[in-house]
Amino acid sequence: MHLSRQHTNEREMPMNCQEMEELLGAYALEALSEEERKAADAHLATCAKCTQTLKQLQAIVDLFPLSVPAVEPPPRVKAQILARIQENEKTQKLPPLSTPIPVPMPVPVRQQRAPVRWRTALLAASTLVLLVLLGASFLWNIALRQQVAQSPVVYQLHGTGDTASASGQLIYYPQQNITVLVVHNLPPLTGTQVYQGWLLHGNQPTSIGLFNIDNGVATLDFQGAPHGFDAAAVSLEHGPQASRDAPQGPVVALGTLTP
Amino acid sequence: MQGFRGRGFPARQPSQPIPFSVEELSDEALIHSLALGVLWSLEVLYQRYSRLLYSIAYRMIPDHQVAEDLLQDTFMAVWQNAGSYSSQAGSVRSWLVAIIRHRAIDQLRKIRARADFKITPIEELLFDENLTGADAWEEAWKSIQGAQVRNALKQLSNEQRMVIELAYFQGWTQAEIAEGYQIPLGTVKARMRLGLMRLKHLLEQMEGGV
Repeated sequence: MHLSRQHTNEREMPMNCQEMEELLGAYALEALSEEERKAADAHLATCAKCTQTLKQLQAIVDLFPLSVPAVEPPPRVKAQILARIQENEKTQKLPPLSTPIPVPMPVPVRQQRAPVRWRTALLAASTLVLLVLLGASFLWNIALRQQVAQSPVVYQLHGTGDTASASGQLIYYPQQNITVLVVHNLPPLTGTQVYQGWLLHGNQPTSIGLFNIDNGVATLDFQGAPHGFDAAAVSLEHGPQASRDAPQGPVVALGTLTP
Repeated sequence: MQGFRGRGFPARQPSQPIPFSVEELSDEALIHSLALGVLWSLEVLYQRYSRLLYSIAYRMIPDHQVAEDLLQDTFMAVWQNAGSYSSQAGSVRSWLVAIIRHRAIDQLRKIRARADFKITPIEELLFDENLTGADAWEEAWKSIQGAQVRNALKQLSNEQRMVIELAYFQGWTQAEIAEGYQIPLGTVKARMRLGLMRLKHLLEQMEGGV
């Protein structure tokens, strides 16, 4: 069905609040044409009042899925999804789990690797690619099964003092040897402030980097395990750089890592 | 806030049961892990949301094969695009719902583009069966929101429910509704806006009464 868009095509002037109000219901229901939506977005970018009303209506629309009668999907769908992922990974790229993650290792003492000459590296890389191509199917099958079967280890972080409402998790994935920290309800940062992650062994803190903040959710990940550490902590630092050897600001969340 | 004593380790908090159940992992933690390639996270998300997403797909297009395909496509998209998720755009649940809903709308638009497509009579659109299913979400969300939303929707006028049904569950734009059902565009806009405002009022009343 193709319909005219006269309402917005003829528009040159910016939308005013009254016009926007008329469109708020349709906007929340995603029932605007692209042109109408662009015009509405232009108004919303400069109008806090209409934006606030829209958020209230969107919150109502977000509840609509709750009104749907429940229907159970057939059990085979999950297996089909895993098979498709397996097929995609085989044909398109290496499995994501083999991708190195450029984050600092938290392990206090690390062995330094000797530099490798580029020709040797190239040869090694070519051999590796060949091996991967030859064995991708077999290895991926094993990796997938192990990954699904091997559960992560999870530790809980709690807010401290004034930030008691903060909470989070440190999750270690043994199969990928990746550690992920996710913390909710931390106070908003101001100016150059940053949240920094730490692992503690006795009295010795080791920085694991700065958190990314996305709408109040702080995330941080690194390659490696939290083994050998007693606790994980989040500190509020002046920033913008991370503190080097120890937190300079207050610790806002903390969790022990020992069973 | 608690500070380190110099470079020291802060006093320990009262100990928590560690490790705790992985079922308590937040959706954001799972998505973040998925973006790092942890397939296990997809499994947990599937356990949490597959029934909801399948139900939405089936509600929009009552064909099990289509709903299965949509569910598969949605989780494939989540697997491939977990890194693009931003909580700024809403909760993980809203993000997942938006993915499957938009895919279902694409399908519905293809169906509507067919020459033999016939507009659903208003009486069928308003058939109450869509609002009388057993409340299977209570267990999942531990709330009575599902029943409340259904009750609130039932209290809207038929005209308001019709435009909401067409827009949200069938993917029609306001202009398409106006043309397809021969209703002035201004009336469609007003029904949408006033319908949602009425729902908001009803749900606030119910919340206050609980």
